[in-house]
Amino acid sequence: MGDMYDPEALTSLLLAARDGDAQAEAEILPFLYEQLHDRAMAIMRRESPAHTLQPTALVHEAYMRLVGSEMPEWQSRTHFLAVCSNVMRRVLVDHARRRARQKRGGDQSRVSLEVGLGLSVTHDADVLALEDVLEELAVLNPRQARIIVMRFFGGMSVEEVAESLGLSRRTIEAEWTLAKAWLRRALAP
Amino acid sequence: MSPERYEQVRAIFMEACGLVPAELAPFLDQACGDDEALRQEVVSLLAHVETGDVIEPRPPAADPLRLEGVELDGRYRVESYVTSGGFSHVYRGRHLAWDLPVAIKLLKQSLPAAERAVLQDSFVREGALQVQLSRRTPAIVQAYDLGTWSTPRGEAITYTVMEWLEGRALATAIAEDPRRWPLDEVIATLGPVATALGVAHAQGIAHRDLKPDNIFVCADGPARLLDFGIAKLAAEYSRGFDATSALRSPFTAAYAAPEQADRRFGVSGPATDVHGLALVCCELLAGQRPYTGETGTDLLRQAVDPQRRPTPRALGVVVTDAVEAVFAAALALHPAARPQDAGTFWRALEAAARTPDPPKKRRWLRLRG
Repeated sequence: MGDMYDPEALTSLLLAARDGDAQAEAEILPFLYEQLHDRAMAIMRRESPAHTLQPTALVHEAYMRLVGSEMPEWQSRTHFLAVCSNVMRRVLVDHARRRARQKRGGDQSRVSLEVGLGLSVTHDADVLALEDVLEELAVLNPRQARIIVMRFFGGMSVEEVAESLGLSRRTIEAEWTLAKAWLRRALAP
Repeated sequence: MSPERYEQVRAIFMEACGLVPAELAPFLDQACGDDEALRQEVVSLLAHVETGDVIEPRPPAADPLRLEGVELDGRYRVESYVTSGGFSHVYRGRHLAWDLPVAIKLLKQSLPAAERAVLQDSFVREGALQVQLSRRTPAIVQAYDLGTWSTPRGEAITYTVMEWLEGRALATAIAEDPRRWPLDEVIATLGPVATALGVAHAQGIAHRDLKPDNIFVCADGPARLLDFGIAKLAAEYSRGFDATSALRSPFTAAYAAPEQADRRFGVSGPATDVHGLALVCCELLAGQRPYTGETGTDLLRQAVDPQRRPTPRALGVVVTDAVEAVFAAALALHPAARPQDAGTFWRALEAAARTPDPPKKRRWLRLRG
């Protein structure tokens, strides 16, 4: 898929996916996965504390690089970030699982999810713990799990999440408050 | 826990969040009844809410970059914060040597680093484009200078210096004084904007986001066209109008042209601005937005609806046949069917405004016969 990048094709696929075309979405995901995966690995390979991986920065960078000048701003940006946030989550979890299988200790990859959660998710084990809890939450309340993913992995603002889910800002803030309390409790040592 | 149970917890939690501490216990007594486990669950979750969790809408910062009173490169003094857009902050300042008020626009620093690097480049190009265009017409806000300010923290912030305008955005004028504008007033007010667009079109540049927010009605002097945008410039500046270009730019759904809502109608270009200018005229004539809707999708659906071209008559405005025809052409679904640049559209509109309808009598005869 590495050479499929054609901005126009990607833009039409994204627009179709935004309008609910599942086929188009299925075509984009592997491409986005590869893009984000390659960038994440390149950063983590540097293995230096100075190069802590910031997933939200990667997602925004992908937006600017792939579609920033191609897409109408008003809604597609939000959609792109929403899709990417979930892809970013997959990239990080897969990476953490792979490392866990290889039983490599010591040189932990550093991932920084900073969302004022009062929790630091800086190591593979944290990424995996967060993933377990997120999956649990997705069963109880899929919407709250999506909000968390968009905020944590996509760095989306409350307004952007509200637009993406077609809900009011107030509703998102309320759901976000409960989801965070729930996560904090579940991840508390 | 089951999803049903979580839903129960959720409903009580949401209500409890809005209560003052004294109200909490009585509320929980009533809401949870003798379901002690439910109550414990809610209380335990409430205990994990932190003060910063409920995000209050932040009031606009008085001086987001802490720039007031600062001298930029020894040439300008920043006087006061004015406003912020999506990518930049605007301050009022003074040209020290000439003692002239200026507007200073600075790229926001709060954007993610990767995004900022791309915007930085576009910001510089926007300034260059503005200089290129504004020296050809007073109807485009005049750009004076471009500079870089090093903050005390060692960051470099790029800024553009522009003429200071007294007046208000057309959007503000509409909001503060909603009314139906007479055609003559619309033509007199927006004439300079048509001229400005004509200048841009002649240079191979389209604005693509024409709306009342981007038109500034000046207290003294002609209305000005503002904001050639940032993100949309990066590619356009060098490419001009390439018919094969896949370039899509940021636009505003409420003022979208059909080709911006759906690419099947073609690529955007000068005819997009003709549509936008016609739409703004119709809004002023009708005293209401041509497209209304809750969501961007609603608005864009109307933009491509062949049954719903927002001409003056469709909006309930009485105009002559000639004027209606000019707007019908300018608002055509397909860009190729419109006047191809702002100058052509505007000359047709001015001519139509001087053309009276044929005498009414003949219509009566036709209707009866």
